[in-house]
Amino acid sequence: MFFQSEKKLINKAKQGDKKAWLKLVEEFEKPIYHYCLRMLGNPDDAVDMLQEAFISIYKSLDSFRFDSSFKTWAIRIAHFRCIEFYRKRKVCQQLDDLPEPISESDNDCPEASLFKAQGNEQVISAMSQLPWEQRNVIELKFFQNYTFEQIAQQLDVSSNTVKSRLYSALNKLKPHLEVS
Amino acid sequence: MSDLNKIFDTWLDTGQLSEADKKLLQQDAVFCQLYKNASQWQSQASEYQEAEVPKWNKEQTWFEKSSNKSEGFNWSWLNGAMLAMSFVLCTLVVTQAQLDISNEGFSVTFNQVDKQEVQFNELKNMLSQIQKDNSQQAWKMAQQAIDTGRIERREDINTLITYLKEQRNQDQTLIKLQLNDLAEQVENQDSTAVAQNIILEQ
Repeated sequence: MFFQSEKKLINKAKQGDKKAWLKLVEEFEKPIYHYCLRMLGNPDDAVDMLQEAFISIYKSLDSFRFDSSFKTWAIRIAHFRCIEFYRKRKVCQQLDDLPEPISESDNDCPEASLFKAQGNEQVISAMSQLPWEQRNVIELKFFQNYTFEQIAQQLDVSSNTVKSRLYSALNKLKPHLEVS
Repeated sequence: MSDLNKIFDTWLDTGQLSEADKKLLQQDAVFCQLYKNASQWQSQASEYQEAEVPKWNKEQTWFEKSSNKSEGFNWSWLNGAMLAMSFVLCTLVVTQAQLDISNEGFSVTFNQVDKQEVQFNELKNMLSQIQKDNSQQAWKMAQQAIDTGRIERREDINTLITYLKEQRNQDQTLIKLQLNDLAEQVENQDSTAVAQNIILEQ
């Protein structure tokens, strides 16, 4: 029943129905925002990325053929946007020689205090310590609950690479988790 | 890949772990730590609360896909035009239409089977006339060649006869001279010598 209504909304949005599109955005903004938040480690960046991701989703909505769930497809698009953002930031950092902004530096931000209040800070902070590839594997494995094969397909690497990235990430997270 | 790796990976993928396998993992120092960390991540992920999203401008994600609409309109218009042109072209081919342009203007004629036949017959006549002319020309050429040959032969024979006549005249003159010489010799000899047919040495 839910899927039917989701499908209807998507089809209406494809035909240019603004209300249907905004309803879709409301329905899926939460998982996409939190995906961006965990990947970027900064609520401001996550909100910017959320907007960019939904613009991309709307642009490529016509290509959505219901082969997977809308959430999976949308998160995949958000993933690519995050990669672009991460690369740009990396280039900027190399140019400016500034350290990567992480969640701890956002104490004064109201959004930051919001997610801290929810007790998610530890997760965000721990993930921010990881390199991008390992952070990605942790996200897909523990938060999106994909199998190794599925992660390998998504990242276009072998499942052994995925496993080794996960093991490295778990080893790196060890001291952080012990402290927390 | 070791058994512990397999057990650990299977647990991560399926979440299923028997007590015996769990013990095996916990007995190994490396996998014990990995198992602990992964378990902690799993519990943190399950406890992760997706808090409300901060206010953001959702309206900005929606925009009129005008380019698509105009493309669609153009496409359908183009389709229609292409279909109409194809139909017109087919009609022209089937009805064997012909466009004649002259100084007075142009005219379009359809079903030109009779006209084509007339043109074909005209062409046929023209071709046969050309063939006839060609054969006449060839005959004339042959005749001329024969005549020329005949004249040349006649001239050659005339030249030969003239030459023979000259030779004959020359021969007759020579014989006359010789006869005269003989006559003189005979006149100057004795009659006995003439009777005995003796030619005196001079």
